Amino acid sequence: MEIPYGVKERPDTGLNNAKLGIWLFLASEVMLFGGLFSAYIFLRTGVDDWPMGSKYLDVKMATLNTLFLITSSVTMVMSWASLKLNDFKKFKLYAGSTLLLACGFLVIKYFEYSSKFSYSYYPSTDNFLGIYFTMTGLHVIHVIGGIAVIAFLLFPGAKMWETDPERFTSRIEVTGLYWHFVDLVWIFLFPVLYLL
Amino acid sequence: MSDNHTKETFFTKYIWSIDHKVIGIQYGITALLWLLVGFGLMMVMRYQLAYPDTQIPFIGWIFGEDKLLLPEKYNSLGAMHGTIMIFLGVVPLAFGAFGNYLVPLQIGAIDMAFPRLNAASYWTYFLGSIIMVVGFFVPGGAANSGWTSYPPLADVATAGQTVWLLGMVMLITSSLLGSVNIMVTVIQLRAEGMTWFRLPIFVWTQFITAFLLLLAFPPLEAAGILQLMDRLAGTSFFLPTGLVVSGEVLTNAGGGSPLLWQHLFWFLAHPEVYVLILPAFGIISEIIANNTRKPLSGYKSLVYAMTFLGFMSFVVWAHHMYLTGMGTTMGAFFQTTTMIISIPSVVILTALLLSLWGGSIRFNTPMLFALAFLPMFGIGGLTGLPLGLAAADIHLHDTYYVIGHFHYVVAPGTLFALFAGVYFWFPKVTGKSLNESLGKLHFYFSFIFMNGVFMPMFIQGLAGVSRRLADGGQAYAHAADVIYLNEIMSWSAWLLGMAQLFFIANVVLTLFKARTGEINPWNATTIDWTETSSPPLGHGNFEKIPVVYRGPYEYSVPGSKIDFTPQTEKG
Amino acid sequence: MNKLLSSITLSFIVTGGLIAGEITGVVKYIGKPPKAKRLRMDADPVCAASHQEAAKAETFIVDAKGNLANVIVYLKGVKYSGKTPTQPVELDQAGCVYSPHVMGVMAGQPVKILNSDATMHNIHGLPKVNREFNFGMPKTLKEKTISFDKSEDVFVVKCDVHPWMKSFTQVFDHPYFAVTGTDGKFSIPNVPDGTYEAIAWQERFGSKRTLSQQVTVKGGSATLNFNFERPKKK
Repeated sequence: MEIPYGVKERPDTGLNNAKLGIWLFLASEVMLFGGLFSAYIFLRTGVDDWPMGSKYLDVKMATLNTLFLITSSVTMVMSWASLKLNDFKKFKLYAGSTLLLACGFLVIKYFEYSSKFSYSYYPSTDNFLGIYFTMTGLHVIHVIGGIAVIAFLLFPGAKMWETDPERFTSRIEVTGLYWHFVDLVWIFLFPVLYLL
Repeated sequence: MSDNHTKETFFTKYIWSIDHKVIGIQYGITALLWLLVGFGLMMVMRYQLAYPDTQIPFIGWIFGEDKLLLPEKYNSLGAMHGTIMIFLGVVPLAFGAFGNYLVPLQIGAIDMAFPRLNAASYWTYFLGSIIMVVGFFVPGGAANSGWTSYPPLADVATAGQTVWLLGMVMLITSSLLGSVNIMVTVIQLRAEGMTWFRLPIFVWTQFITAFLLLLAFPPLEAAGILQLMDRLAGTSFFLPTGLVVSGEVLTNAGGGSPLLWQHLFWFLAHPEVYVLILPAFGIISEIIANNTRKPLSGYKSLVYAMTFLGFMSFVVWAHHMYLTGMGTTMGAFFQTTTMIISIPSVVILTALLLSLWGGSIRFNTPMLFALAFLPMFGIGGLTGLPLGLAAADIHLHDTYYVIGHFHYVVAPGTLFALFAGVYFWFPKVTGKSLNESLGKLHFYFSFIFMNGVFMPMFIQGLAGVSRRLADGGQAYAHAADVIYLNEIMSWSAWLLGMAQLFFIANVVLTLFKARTGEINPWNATTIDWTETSSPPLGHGNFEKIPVVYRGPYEYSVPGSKIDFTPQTEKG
Repeated sequence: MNKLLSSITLSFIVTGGLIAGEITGVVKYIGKPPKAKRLRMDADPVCAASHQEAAKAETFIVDAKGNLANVIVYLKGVKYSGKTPTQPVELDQAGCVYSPHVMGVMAGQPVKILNSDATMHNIHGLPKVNREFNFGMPKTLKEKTISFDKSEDVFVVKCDVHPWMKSFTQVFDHPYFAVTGTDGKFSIPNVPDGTYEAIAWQERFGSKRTLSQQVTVKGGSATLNFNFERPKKK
């Protein structure tokens, strides 16, 4: 027996399990990053001197990263839309692009972090750097998680397109929702840490 | 979902099972064992409190060649007792065991919405619990900064604190996976005809509990990450500038705030206490309706009160922080919300009490525990009121009064409800009923000794005896008049421990009995009882997916030949 | 077995004495001594009751003649391949003060910590090289023995229950050290012939203002005196 409404929508709620599940999970993620943003506000308002983000951080690199992530959200939607339009080739193209852009984000982050370390700027240096590394670090972990899932669905997991295309499409949609969230967190992190 | 009927091994049937019933039992056994461990820690602590600085008999050798429970070890036992009881014991039992096992059965589903995620949540819990107790074996011993893990102490404490934080991260993850599962299951997998207001109260409480866990735990995860950074990466999120530790000024950057931890911690930990009590309300509701042979009074009131309670629980947290210098405006806000949140609790307790009125009460073991729950929770709730008011809290904060208050709610409160649940659902899970005589002995002795341990705490607290004192207050003149109570409480605690042997013996003996397989020994109305075998079918729970036509408590329906009408009976 | 060991040891000492000597000396203080602060022990009635007149801080103990007590005098950088003594050094908590206030011990030598008071003490040592230790000693725990693995410069051992309690320990990998008594005198026996650098450490002057002197031992004895002077105001 199969668990009902895994992919098909339940009539009275209008939802399927996977979509509901990911939205609930994302609600908890909002609370997680929300807790860290609250900590940032608490720490910053608790001291008189708080450095400008630009003192330590490279705004240009981060702007590029922002573009990478926003674009990757677009390509993610396009990959899902391609599946809805039954175009598996386009799906692979767009999913692959999402992966590349996500990896690009990581590469830039690598350069950012190593540049900080080369100046002896560590999380322990002051609370700004501490919260910067912690929040962007947790975000990076979420990016890596997203990359892992997208890579899985693009390569070994893509077999499901042959056997159960609707379920596969649902998986891509759910991954997309997660990915949009990861992007959204960055949209908040970027101005708060780099620009203010 | 792939059909796992085809290749079932011992491993997939009993270890990595994705069947919610197996997972529920796994949670149950693990949690009960951890409750025993946590209780054991407390029994050792109570020896030190009754007979300070004397050698511990029988097991003293565990604590070193001097066989003494030195203060630093007492602190570890205290912190771990709280942590183990809450996060490794009560929540996994109330939510992981009862929730996982019963929710699909009570709503007419063949399993949870995400069976493999369910298994993952159990094994994450299992792993997290092992990590937690590894702390006892690292240099410096287990975490010793209280279950509340306050900085600056927790930031600079011995290695066991890091282990505690890593364990908490795993336990929180397990909890999140479980709560997503329960919520999706209840929303999406209700059988035909099972509308929201036909759900058993038990399902409602599990649903609201899941909602609390989902949204309240992540800030503690954030705080845990920040404290790990403080301890491992040298950050100062919680360390103020110029902090002096052991006579030396810390070289950290400073600029942090210990208050930040308190806010993040209590933002979880207040909803956490409702996580501890809501499943208990649910279990008690089922047992009272069943053993009064009449519908619950105020089904809708219960649902609305519990929902309101859930939402309110997010805005009262700073009543744990009245003494941090928050000022009268903030204090007034939190006192107001705290007083408001006492209202739904009263509504719930009143509804349950009124449900007894005019009932045909059957005094079996589950019902005895359920009946005792009511006044015990009442005492716990009432003693919370002075704590919720800042003026009185000035005198009572961090005293034994607080310990008495919360133990009344959790110990003869929630734990009694959980025992009631075990006695009640044991025949469904195993096909055999627990022995009533042993059950009653377990109940009566537990009831007496629970009060023996916790009632004197209010007296000590009012006298000003602080909590977390390794010598039980002996060093303080203001405690002199009430110090004699320590010995009484300790003996009550040890006898309470002995009383649990009735329960353990009952379970062991019953498991060796022959299976009767009686489907509905309590003559209950809910689908878990009427539509499944005892135990339920391994795959899919139901011979035929039930269709629901009635509410959950149609007992003594006028004109009916029998005093209960199952939910699946056509109108 | 014991008799054999002691006779062997005795013969070593006798022969050793022919090519080793004893360093003796006095440590004095020149200048006006600082006033000793009174220790407030009201927090613990057991401690307060153990002193008829108020106890004084032991940071600077000097007599009328300027003899300075509690100074560690030791030879620096000496290679020693002999045995580590098994006789423990005792550190007592009596009257809620440490006795001795300053002590030297060899790496691996047992340190027997005693609690002679009818109250709980907590012994918290803060070495940087050796492992930090921190354990309670309730009044029923009368003694506990520990030891240090490595040599280390002076570090504090304090009580977290009674904040005025402080003592100083230095761990050596050789036995050529001594602590001056109230008469300012010290003696370091069995020092092999040779020229050494000797250091004197006093609590108030601290590790930054130790005194250093060369001393030559040549069969018999050598004299070594130190004079601490009150630092001039800048």
